[in-house]
Amino acid sequence: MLPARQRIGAYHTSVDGKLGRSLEQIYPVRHRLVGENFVQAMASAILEHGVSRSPGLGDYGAAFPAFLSTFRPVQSLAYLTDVARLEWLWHRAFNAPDQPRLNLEALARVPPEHWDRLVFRLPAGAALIASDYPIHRIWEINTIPTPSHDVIDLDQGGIRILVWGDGHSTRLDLPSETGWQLLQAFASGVPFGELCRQDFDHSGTTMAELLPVWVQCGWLRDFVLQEEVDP
Amino acid sequence: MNTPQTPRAVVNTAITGLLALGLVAATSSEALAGMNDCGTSKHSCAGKATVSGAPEEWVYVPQGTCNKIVGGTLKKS
Repeated sequence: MLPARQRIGAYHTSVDGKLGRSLEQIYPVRHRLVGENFVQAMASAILEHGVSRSPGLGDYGAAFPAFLSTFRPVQSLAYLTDVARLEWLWHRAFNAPDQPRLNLEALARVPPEHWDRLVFRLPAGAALIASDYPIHRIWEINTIPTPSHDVIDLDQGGIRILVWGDGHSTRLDLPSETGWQLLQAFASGVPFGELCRQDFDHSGTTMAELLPVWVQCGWLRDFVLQEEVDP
Repeated sequence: MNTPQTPRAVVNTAITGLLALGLVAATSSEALAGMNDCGTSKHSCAGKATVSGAPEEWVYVPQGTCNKIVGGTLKKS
């Protein structure tokens, strides 16, 4: 019979293996970028870096992008941290609860005098990410099943991405400059009345045109009424 | 020439237009995109029984598709 220390050690290595495998599956792009040997070596370093406080395996890996930003062996790959951030957001959006479309019947019950206080919300798990690098292209060519021969030029510039889940699909959308500003405002919980008072450059598009389109495409999924503040 | 709308009018026009769409409030009951039973949606529960030993012996040299990414200063602005 094995000594107690070795029996416990068997569980230890099994847990380490599961955690390492979780990281590989949450971060497949990183895996293809740096290769199998590097990923395995890095997994060991991550395990020594800290432990997850969440009972859910799906939460393991949240700290990985921050870890990467300090991991000296990848400092020459500055875009890798942003790619990892994108992968984590994709993972969160993928696993977010499904939501129905915005309930227009409920919206119709809100008296017009309260429309100023409407706070429209993005889908659960949606997130906005900006990078100095074309991380959407790096993500794209490293998620297709067959190896791509495309070469990514970092000098092509940065990108702004909305990561969100729509039913069974998870999407990376690239909003316009106006779209980005408005999405940030919606994500920050800015009430609709205040948002309409802000000086956004709508590029000739009115809010009355934008709002239905965003509701239809699923970017705006829900609403609440901001609490009234006593004067 | 159009007169700019007041913020209140912008709100009213936008919400009225949205309601006028008559969109069906879909109450999807589709299965969740993800699963919460065991790790992430893409994970099997089967972890590795072992991990590679002696990590300090690994040479940290990325050898994946990162060699297809060129240009840039490789520094955060």
